[in-house]
Amino acid sequence: MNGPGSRGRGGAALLVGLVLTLAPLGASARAAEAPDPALAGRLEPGVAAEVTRAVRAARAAGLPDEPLISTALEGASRGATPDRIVRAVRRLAGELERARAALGGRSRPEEIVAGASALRAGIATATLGQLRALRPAESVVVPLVVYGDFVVRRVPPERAASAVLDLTRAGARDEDLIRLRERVAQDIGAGATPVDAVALRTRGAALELAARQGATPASGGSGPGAARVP
Amino acid sequence: MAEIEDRLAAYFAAEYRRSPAPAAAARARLVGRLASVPPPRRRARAFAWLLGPRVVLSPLAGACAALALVAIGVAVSPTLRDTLRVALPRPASTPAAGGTRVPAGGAGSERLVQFVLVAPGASRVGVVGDFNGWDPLGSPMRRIGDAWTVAVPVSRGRHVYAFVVDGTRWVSDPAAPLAPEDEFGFRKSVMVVAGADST
Amino acid sequence: MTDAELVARVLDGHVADFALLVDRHHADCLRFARHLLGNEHDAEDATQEAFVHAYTSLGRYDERNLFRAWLYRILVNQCRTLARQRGRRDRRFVQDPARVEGAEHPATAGRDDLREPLAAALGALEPRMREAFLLRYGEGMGYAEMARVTGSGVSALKMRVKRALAILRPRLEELLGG
Repeated sequence: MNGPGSRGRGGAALLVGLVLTLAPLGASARAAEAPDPALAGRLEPGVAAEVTRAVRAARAAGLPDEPLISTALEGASRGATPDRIVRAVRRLAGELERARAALGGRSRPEEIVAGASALRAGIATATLGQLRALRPAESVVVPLVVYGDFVVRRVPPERAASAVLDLTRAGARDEDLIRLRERVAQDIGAGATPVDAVALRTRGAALELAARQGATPASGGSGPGAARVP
Repeated sequence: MAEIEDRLAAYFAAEYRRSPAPAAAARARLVGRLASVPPPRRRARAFAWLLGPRVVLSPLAGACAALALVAIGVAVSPTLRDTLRVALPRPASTPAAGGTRVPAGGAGSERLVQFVLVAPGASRVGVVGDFNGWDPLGSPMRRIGDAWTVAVPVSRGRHVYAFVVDGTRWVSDPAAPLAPEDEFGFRKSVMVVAGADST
Repeated sequence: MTDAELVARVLDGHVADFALLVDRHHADCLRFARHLLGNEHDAEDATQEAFVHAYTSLGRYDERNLFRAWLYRILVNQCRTLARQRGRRDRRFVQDPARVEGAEHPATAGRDDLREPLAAALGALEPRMREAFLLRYGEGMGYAEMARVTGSGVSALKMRVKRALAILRPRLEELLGG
């Protein structure tokens, strides 16, 4: 124990010892400098303070802050250096802001997070805007996740973006995009080049969509009179 | 035979004693808590044995403890399996092999997601992610044959995660989308959990 | 000063002396709870509750008994309660990142990698077996003391320890040999 503190009756004796040993600052100063509780004990105090600053700034700006905390904790779990953790958090904070600007202020937090991730994968902010326009009320998370996955698997960003945009434009639902991703991943795993895999499977998905909607992909129309694509 | 067991027991005891000393922080938190607790009073000695702490061992306690400890890889006896099927809510979707969008259902904002990793050679697997603070000890998985599994309640939205094999090896979910962010030299997996208000 | 003497002093009003009992036993209790529960922050919770309970009910401690046995009885109860609660909690609530606060972390604390395979092996034991094994070979308790701690009989405890060792044996042999 860091010194027994003053000996005397009552729990106050224990408290005095503790306060003298562990809390030299005044209460308000302590509160202002206190790191986010999720970080205390996981990060060195200096890093926790830096990250907490970023978290508070994000909160003040109305941006999602949990991804910042999560990134810091992930870095801690991976044994990353303090520098690296702080850099990662700051980078993400910037991307969250850009994503929100591109997707619109009324986007859901998870959309902003997905948007930030897609920006990391090289998506153009214009593409984010187009996606938003195609799905003004519906979540854009899945299209962005699929985009990100394609790029990680070495599909050039522009091809990945076109694939996702084209299908979304054609009315693809989240399940369709998920299925597409699985097939592309499988094909690449089986040895297809990423570009070929995406091209082939996107075409296939477009045809399926059209068949479901009862129209050719080119016409974009629907209805019983439209020609069926074999 | 006894000699071998003595050696093993001695080895365990040595390893046990070598486990890292706890942070002073835990001790400080305890002392801080004690400071707010009313000090104890002496009770009449004659009745001390009546008032001593009791170990509660109801017949149910054993079953409940075993049930609760499933998450940390405790072997489950056949008699408990039925209890588990009732006690653990079934996920709304089939087990998320990874990347599958977990559909909405029910009023809650969390879904129980089942993580699965086939890793026959592993002795220990856990899932880490933004839903458990990336704590390698936070969601230990249970082995079933060659596969490892755990069900974790996860809030709606996009989540990143990975598996930690044998405490040191981080692997992404082979069946899930990959996350572009790899600032810590490692490729995470992505999962999307839908809430009540998304499609 | 023996534990019993310290308890007497605390009950006489020298409340701060309880910190000396904490000094003596907290680290061991935390280590035991960590091995039993397999989870650092649950271990801290259980240990903290145990010490608070011990402190508030110190008047019930009979100095004729071993303080450590009395304390560990409280600790084992807390661990069992927490394990039950955790089973229910995990099914309903997201693991709150804030609860990770203070956890001993591999990256930031001096991690002993040899601990990990052992933790896995322990996790495979049925809880009562794990308790008995840890009390016997971790804490080095005699069976009479273990009986007071767990509320189980000596022969039942011996059987559990024997079976635990048999289950752990391949893993321990592997670690010993490797």
